[in-house]
Amino acid sequence: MPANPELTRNIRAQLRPDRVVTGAVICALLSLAVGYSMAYTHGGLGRAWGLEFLRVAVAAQAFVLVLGGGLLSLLAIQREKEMNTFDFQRVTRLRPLELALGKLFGAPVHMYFIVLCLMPAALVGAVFGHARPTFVVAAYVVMLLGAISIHALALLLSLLLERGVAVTGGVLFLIVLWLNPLVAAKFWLDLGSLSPFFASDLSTQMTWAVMPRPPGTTIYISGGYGMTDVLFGWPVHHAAVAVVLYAGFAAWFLLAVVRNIKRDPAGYEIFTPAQALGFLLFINLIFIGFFRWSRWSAAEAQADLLGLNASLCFVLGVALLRNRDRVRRLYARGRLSSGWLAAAWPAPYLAAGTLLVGLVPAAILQVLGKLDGEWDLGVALFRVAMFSAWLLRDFLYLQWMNLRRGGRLRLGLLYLAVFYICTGIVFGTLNLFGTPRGLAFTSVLLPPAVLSPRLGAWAETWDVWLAALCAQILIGGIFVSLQRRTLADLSTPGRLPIPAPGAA
Amino acid sequence: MFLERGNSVEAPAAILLENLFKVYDLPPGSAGAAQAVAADNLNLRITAREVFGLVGPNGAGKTTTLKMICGLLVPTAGRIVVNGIDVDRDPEAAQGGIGYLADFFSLYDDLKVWEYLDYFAHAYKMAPETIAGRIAEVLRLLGLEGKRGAFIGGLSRGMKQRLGIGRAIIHDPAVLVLDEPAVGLDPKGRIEFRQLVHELNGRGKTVLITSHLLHDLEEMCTSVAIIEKGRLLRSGRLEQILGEGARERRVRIMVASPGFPLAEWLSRREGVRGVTGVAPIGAQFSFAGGEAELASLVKALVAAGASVYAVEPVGETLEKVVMGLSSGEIT
Repeated sequence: MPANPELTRNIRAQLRPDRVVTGAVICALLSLAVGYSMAYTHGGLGRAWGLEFLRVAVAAQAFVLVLGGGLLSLLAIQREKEMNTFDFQRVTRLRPLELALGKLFGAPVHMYFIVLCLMPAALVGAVFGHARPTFVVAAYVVMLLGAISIHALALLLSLLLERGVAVTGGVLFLIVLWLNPLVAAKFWLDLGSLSPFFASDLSTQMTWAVMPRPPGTTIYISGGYGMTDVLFGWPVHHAAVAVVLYAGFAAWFLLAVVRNIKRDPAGYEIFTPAQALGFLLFINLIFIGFFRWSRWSAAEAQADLLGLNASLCFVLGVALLRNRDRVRRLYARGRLSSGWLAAAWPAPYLAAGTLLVGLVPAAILQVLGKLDGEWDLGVALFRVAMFSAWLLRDFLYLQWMNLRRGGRLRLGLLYLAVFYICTGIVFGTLNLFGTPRGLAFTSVLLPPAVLSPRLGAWAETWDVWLAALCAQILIGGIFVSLQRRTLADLSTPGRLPIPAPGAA
Repeated sequence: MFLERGNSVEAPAAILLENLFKVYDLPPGSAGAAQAVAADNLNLRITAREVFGLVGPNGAGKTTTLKMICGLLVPTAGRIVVNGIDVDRDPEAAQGGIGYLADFFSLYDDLKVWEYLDYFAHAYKMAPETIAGRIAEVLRLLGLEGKRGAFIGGLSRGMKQRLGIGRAIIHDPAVLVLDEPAVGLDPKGRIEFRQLVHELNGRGKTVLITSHLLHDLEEMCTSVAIIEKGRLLRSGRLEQILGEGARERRVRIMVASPGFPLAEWLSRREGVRGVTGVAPIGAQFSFAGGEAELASLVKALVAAGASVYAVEPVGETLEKVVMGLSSGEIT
């Protein structure tokens, strides 16, 4: 890593002596001012002051590293693209992993330096507060890994998105992440905050003992129950969980950056289909592992898990979408058939993913769940089928839009959002969600209704639900047909440059 | 190394484009066709150690072609081979033998000149022990030895352009791909740049260059290709292109006979067209005949009382050839 040219370039540019001295002096002055102020409030340099000072110092370090470093990572590739220097890096012999690692640690290198400058304050706090060294070290490991995973995500956004979108989206994400400990209602999962800012709480802990929370505790607080997660029924310390999850997320995001950083932008592809499935399963393992199985009835648990998975499958679907340029190239090189399989893309992989994440929890619930009168395996399987058909329908639509001239994915997403909002308003006004039969009817256009726990009236409404499922398949078929027409248009000889044999 | 093919001996190809296509969509609402073709079945063979000019109007596909050669853009179809390496199959190996300079670019203003070259030397995987010497050599070649420790942000436009070339040659690539490298340079800078290209070519580099400054290209290039709308209109040795471009011989005659109606006299002769006057007393015209007919014409002119002191052929310029071939449309 020290020999990484991109890292060296960033160190040289960002850590010039004048900037280093300025940063160090400002950090020292701030540390002294805050320390003095807190000592004044605490009535001296006692243990309480020490722990509080440690907590504030670590929080400041997390703030600088996660938010500051995140912003710098968001801008890292965007700025290079604007200056037209990114092509010069792409044309070198730097391997994609080298370039990605150089940017991952290089772009926020000044923030790492500021963290180092604040370290004396944290150490003073730790000494005066008699903090346990293992927790101080654990706090830094959590902060570092958390920051790396955020930086990797920011780098990915910087690579894939336009500057405005990347920066706006990234800043919003970072703000939500910062607020996470305050707003995140841990409703479904026995999993603490995944915001690296919890490192400041961790640094002042005194025991590694884990204590499962009493029922009804939904928001993590500092210390106590807040540091205990429940994984497959076993209490585990949140710090250990966070370290594993941050490392996992960082690896997935870095993989996506490495796959694309030296590619032609027209050929960006976040993950291969197999990798996208792997990512989906990774997140599902988290869902299933930390899910509060005992709190909900089996039917509620299934509906909630499908709901959680909908957003994940959305990520998988977007990762699988092919753009027009890529499809044209695949045709020109004879690497894409003109059959129905191509026209149904990305349905095969998405179907595999949605069925997998739907069926596994259903199987777990059937074997281990709190089964009651609401639970019916047939209904549970229908839910999975409807969930899968719904996502396939929407993604076949989005794939068709993305293949149209000009790549209309954004417009497609906008239309989809407007469609859901408008139909939701109209159905709500007609009170269709209020009755079992009305709910079943709404699912023809709004399949998420299948996630409602009021499927108990299945016996009275099964015919409408089945009709709704058939409607999803029919609508999906229409988009397959439209996609097939677009593909046929793209692969016609006049539009596709296939040189005549022996042409020179 | 030369390859023998039949009885002929052919120089090895530094860059080979085979049936190259690049198609992209125009934004919705664009007038005319839905898609544009930046490369339309391009076939080019650029011999090693040539200075090869790629000429064409804006939107002809020059920059796209250069980026595909460098592995920065993927062709829709076709094959590119650089120094014997297929760019699509092994882009990083191919890129190791290419030095690339884009048309509009920035440098890292917060780095020093030597740090900038050092960064790219390491990025091109040069042996660490050779880097310091190579940086000194490149700075000497570029005339930037005195600026070694200066921040790039403080360099003049011409110096930055030279440093950009320094970046492109730091790893001693066999092929240099330069996209409009003379943009923004003053006349002195352009002359120095031409000298630099000659020097690099003299050191065995193959140079592929695009420029709208056709006079500069004419002075630098050994071969040129003219493209428009992604199609190759003509390619070959420069003298061949200029020769083919001239449909008729252009001749200039100077006389020392004040009052002699030279232009009028010439206009009446068979095979003479497009007579224009040349100061102080002379004319330039297109002549359809051969050497013998031209000799007869001069003899007749002398007989008519004109004191002829100069008869010289007027060469075709690249600019005229390009204008003659180009439809003037852009994609």
